[in-house]
Amino acid sequence: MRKIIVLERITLDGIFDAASMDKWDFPYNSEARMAVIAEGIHASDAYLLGRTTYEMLAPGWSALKNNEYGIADKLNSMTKYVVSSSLGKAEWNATIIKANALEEIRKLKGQPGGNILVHGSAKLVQSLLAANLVDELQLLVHPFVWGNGAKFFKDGAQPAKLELIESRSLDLGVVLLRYQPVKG
Amino acid sequence: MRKLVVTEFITLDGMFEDPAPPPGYPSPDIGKFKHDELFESGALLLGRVTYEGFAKYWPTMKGTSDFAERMNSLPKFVATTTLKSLEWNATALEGDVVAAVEKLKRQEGQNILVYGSGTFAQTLLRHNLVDELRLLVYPLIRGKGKRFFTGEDRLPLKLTTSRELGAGVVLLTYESAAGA
Repeated sequence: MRKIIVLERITLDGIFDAASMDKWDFPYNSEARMAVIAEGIHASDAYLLGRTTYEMLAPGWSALKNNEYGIADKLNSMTKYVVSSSLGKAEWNATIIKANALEEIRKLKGQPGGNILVHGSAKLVQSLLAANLVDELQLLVHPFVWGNGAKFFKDGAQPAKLELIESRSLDLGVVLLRYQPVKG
Repeated sequence: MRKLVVTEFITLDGMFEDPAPPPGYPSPDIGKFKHDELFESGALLLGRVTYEGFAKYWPTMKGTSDFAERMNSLPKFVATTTLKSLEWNATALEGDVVAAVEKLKRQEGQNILVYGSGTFAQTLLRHNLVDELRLLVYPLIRGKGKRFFTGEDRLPLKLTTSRELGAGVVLLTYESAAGA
């Protein structure tokens, strides 16, 4: 059974908006933070994304050829699955999951292999959490109240209890919180 | 110069419905933390909604614990333009609320403690009046309710503590990093 690992980079007020990440995310990068992100990527052999996150990541990363940050090669070669009913074709080694997403993802989980990694993709994660398909939720909480922008946890999410696995303070005030959803 | 401390119970998704801990997460460390916090404070500073809830509840707890005794005996300051008469050792802040809080902070004494008071806390944060923000992050997603952070301001912070308090609850404390 493969694990679905979700890693999110958010502000203290829960914003994960990529448009402002140059202000609240990149300035807080450190070796320790980069190691958390890179370890997650290297422990996975599939990348599962919502359409918005896929469209944001694919052009930039696929243009990188020199294993930037020690993750570009792995990220580019990894199999991707994009959940989208509207996307016509996908590049970047991606397969589109057009319909019955949860069922298809359940099948993927049942296959042998490494972890399935999710970044961003808030709507998808909300569905995965509600369907009990997330094995681990990792939050990198950045020391910034950003004020406005898209929130990772939307109103209307299904209530859920989680178990804290680890909390770790990284450099520059970033905190890693790791949770395991309590099933059932 | 007194220190102004804002202390909140929030869920992982940032909800803080009540200025009370979500039920079902007993932990001696949380109890000790909340106890120390109250006894290091010499006054409570509250928004109207939290004041009204507390002023109804805490007097009924009279004689039940030293925590309740202190909650009842401490002086309170309330940010309200609508309430005419206050009880529970409470005084309304007069005039401009920011100036009134600045004046309180200039006094000598123990910490000024803010519980709950979401709207008012945003005002305090925006005006850089908060010396320490303490969040007890509970391991649950609530999906609905009131969010604690509702302001539109950008506030860079400095992490001062990250500590597990048991029952899966994490204490995060921050200071303002504005102008740093």
